[in-house]
Amino acid sequence: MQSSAAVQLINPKSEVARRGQALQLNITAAIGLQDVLKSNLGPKGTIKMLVDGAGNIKITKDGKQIQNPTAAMIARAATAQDEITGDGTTSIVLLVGELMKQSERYISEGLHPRIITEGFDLARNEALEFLDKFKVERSIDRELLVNVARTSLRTKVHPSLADKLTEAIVDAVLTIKRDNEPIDLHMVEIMKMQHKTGVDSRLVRGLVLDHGARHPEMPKRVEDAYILTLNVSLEYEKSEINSGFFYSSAEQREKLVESERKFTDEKVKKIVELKKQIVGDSKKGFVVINQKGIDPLSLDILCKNGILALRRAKRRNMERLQLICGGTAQNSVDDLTPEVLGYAGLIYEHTLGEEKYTFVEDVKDPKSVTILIKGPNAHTITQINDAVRDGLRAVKNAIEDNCVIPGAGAFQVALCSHLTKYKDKVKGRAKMGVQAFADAMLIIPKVLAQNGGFDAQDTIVTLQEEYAAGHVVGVDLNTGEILDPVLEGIWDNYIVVRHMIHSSSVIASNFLLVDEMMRAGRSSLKNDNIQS
Amino acid sequence: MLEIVTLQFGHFSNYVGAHFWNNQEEYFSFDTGQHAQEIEVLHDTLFRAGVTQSGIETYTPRLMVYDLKGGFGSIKKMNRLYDEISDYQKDCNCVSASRFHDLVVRNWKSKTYAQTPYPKNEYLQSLEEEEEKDLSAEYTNNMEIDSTERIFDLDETVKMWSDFNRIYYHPKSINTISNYQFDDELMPFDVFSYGKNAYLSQQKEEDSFEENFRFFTEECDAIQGFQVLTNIIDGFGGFTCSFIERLREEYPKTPVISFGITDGQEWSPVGHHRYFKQIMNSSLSTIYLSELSSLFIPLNVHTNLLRHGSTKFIQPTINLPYHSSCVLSAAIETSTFPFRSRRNTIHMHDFVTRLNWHGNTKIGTLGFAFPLPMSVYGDIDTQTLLPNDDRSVLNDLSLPPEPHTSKIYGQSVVVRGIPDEFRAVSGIEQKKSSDVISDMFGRFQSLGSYSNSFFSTNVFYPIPNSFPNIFKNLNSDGYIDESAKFIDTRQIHFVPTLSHLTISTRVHKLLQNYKTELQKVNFNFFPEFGEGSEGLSSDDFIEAKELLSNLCEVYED
Repeated sequence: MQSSAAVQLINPKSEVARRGQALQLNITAAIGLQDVLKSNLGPKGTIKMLVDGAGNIKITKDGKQIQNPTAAMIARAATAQDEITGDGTTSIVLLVGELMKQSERYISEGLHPRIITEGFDLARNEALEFLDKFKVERSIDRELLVNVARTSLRTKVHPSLADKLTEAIVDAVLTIKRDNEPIDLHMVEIMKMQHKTGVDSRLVRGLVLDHGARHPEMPKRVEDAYILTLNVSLEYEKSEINSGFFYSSAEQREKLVESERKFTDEKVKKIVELKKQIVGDSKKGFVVINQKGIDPLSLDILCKNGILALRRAKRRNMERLQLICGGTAQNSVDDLTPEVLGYAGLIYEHTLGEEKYTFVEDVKDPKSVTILIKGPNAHTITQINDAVRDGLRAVKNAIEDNCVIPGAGAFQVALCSHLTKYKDKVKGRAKMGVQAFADAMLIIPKVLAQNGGFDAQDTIVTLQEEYAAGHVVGVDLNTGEILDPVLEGIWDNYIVVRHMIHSSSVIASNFLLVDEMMRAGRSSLKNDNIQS
Repeated sequence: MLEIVTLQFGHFSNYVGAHFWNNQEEYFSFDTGQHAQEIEVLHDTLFRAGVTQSGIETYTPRLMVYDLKGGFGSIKKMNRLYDEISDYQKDCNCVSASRFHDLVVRNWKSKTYAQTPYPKNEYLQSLEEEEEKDLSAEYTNNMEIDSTERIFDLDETVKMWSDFNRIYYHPKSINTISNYQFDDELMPFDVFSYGKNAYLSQQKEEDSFEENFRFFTEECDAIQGFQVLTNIIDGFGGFTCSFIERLREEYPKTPVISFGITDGQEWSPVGHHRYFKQIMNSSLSTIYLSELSSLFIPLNVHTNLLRHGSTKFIQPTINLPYHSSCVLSAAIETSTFPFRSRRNTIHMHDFVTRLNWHGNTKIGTLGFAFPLPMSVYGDIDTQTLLPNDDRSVLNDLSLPPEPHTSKIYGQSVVVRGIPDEFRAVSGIEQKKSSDVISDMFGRFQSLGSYSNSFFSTNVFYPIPNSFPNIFKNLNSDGYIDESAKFIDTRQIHFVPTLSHLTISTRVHKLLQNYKTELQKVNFNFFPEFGEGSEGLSSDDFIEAKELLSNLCEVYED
């Protein structure tokens, strides 16, 4: 081939693999990756602890951590899956691996890879249709959502922790959900708090800011408060005029500095006036949250007037504050009116070491909420954070799909049996592709059972028999027997399963059709250093 | 308090940074040591006092460090100050965490995939040992460093900037660009646009600007400005541009002084594809960073870095990043010293407006005498301090030196290490420090700059034991001493230095060179610059070239 010759001309160290060899490489890589990630799947999967050269720890249980150049394509697809649906990365890798493995059998018997991919196409289309028949459409109530979230979380963190998080996650989504509007998960803020003994991650119907007042005498707790959201610098800023280059005498400079200071003070005074106007002698509180800075002198004036002020708030929190407390963020203090103020029933500060947190709670109709994650160290917080993000996606998916799929491998067992029947209608050798596809689906319940410590064969046989008898059943990971996922409340997302079927078959087909591979880099094609 | 927040982007810049911070740490022991008079350096400008959750008091830089995955060597995000439960096994025994641990790990099969720990060289090991000793001695105020007797072959064992790093960083200072692996040939981080895209995904994933950078700025009462050390030859230039763009949204007026740092070793041969990529990276970074910053100073480790005059006193191995970075670091440290000096402080804002009184001349060049050759009696050949003298000791860190003189718009001279009193020689009148200083400044005045800023201090440039062994013909106090020949750096604790920062027409040559090289670039041959949502279109590229042309004109004679 000319192209490969050209590469070798430029880089004599490059390697070229052709036809059978290329296919073999792809199959080996896909299966290798499958082997590594297999143990991740399901609630009984293994957690992986990744320790890097400097000793940083990362705990992970999903397939997102794949870093393997030979399987970069699978990895990319898995990442895409994660971006679109938030889940199913491990399953994709397993399915691709298994599709390749099943195909290998037929190819070794002389079947052309193209025929298999034709079968894959047929099977995929049939599978997607079957999925639409298999899905369960029922009213998406809180209970169902809790089940969906639990199913997702239990595969990522320990069950008892997962159960603590599920309700927070479901309530978070339900709080921010507005009728006839798409769910915007950005409205769920995640705040992380490192605390030695903290176990109780929870939902805050309000906002948690990761900073506090910078004046020692400001109140640590304010009740029944007006909230002014600002994006106005309350700092004395040097302007070019007083830079020391243009003034002629020290006095002149003093004057300029003074007038600059006055300018800042004027701005602060306007805020104080508004407070006096609106609060008067009542016991109501007044809180300023500013995206820009507030210098000590300004803080002092505010403090003397009983105002709690926070500076340098995150930009995204400016938007959130409006959604949570109401009111309108101001870019200038020139036309402050009572209408621009928001409201919160309770604002209080919490200190952990050098980190301060300010809770804005007890608000009327929060359109944005905060999930507070607590963990004893950075890596557990990250792990919980990842799980929460996935959980939120699962709940959102369920609401938007308006349907769910019975989990615990039930769908895959049903699909396998359905496709096996469908195969008879297919003419010609593409049949074998359909059969390979059908068999590959069983990898999911198989691995679930294996990870639970049970015999995969036994489980599959039992499942298939039960299904043949007309029951929708999945794997019970505690007994290795069968269970009814509907009864147990084990639900998968429709969209996740749909994407999974689609992308795994597309990738596998692509791999099967590759007949040449080149690499011009440093690492070797032969060197299968697969890591997860 | 006039705080400065430092930002470091890129591996070589972090080399420079590591020297910088080791140097800052050296001031601490300075103050408690025999030279304790009044504390001359306002440490709080660059450092912050904090407390960990377990109540340990900390003093760490106000700093953001960015590097690629694997670029931090042995530096952990959660270092021993912050992560008392440093390894996982201890975690299992830790009572306070055990309840939680039960929830997370027990009954869970777990498997550990550990990379080989990054090996700690002898130097780092000895630092740890020292610290153990310190801890067991229960904080005696006596910070005597006895390791000075040990010899570490740092020239051989320093492979990364972490290998000679002495200080602890706050966990929020350590920021990894995780899409790219350090030293990865398959997926190198070598395109301006990769940096811009990486910033975007970093912002989405971790948002280090809001989560970490904001942590350092929120606590500042009266921030003076930002100092930025960044690579510009690779993808980091783009990353830094995006970061500073974001910073400008929050701090439109605050001074930002950026040093665009390039290790000359990295340049590909002229004319190669990779060379043009590097030209594009460097020029795009220069164009946009000079626009975003208040001052932009390109620093290059070029082959003519050391003037003949100065090689009499220092002999660094220029192709060792560990060596070349120390010269750049000392120059940055010296030229920015007025910002954190207790006496005669120059506010960063004043500093910038005095240099760039024009308003649109933001690109400067940095000259550096390292050491400032001076005898114990105060003899200095001030003529050799000037950049255009044949025997000059003023090394040009921005551009290779050239014979013809340029027009200087603004200059800032910082002289350090002039003692309050020189040693007297019998028979001759004892030299007065003030005379020596005004003599030097007089020389620089003669260069005919429109605006001058002169600063002198008796504080020497301190030499920590992590510093390369590069000095000769100096005595242990850093004065020239021809009889000393090679003296071990470990016996030199400080040297006098002089920095000369100028805004002048010399920059024209640098920009003109970029302009000429960019003309040779066919943008269609560099599709990698268009990749991703932050990629450049060919129109963007044309626009950048126009901006460069305009910049060029500004510095025309």
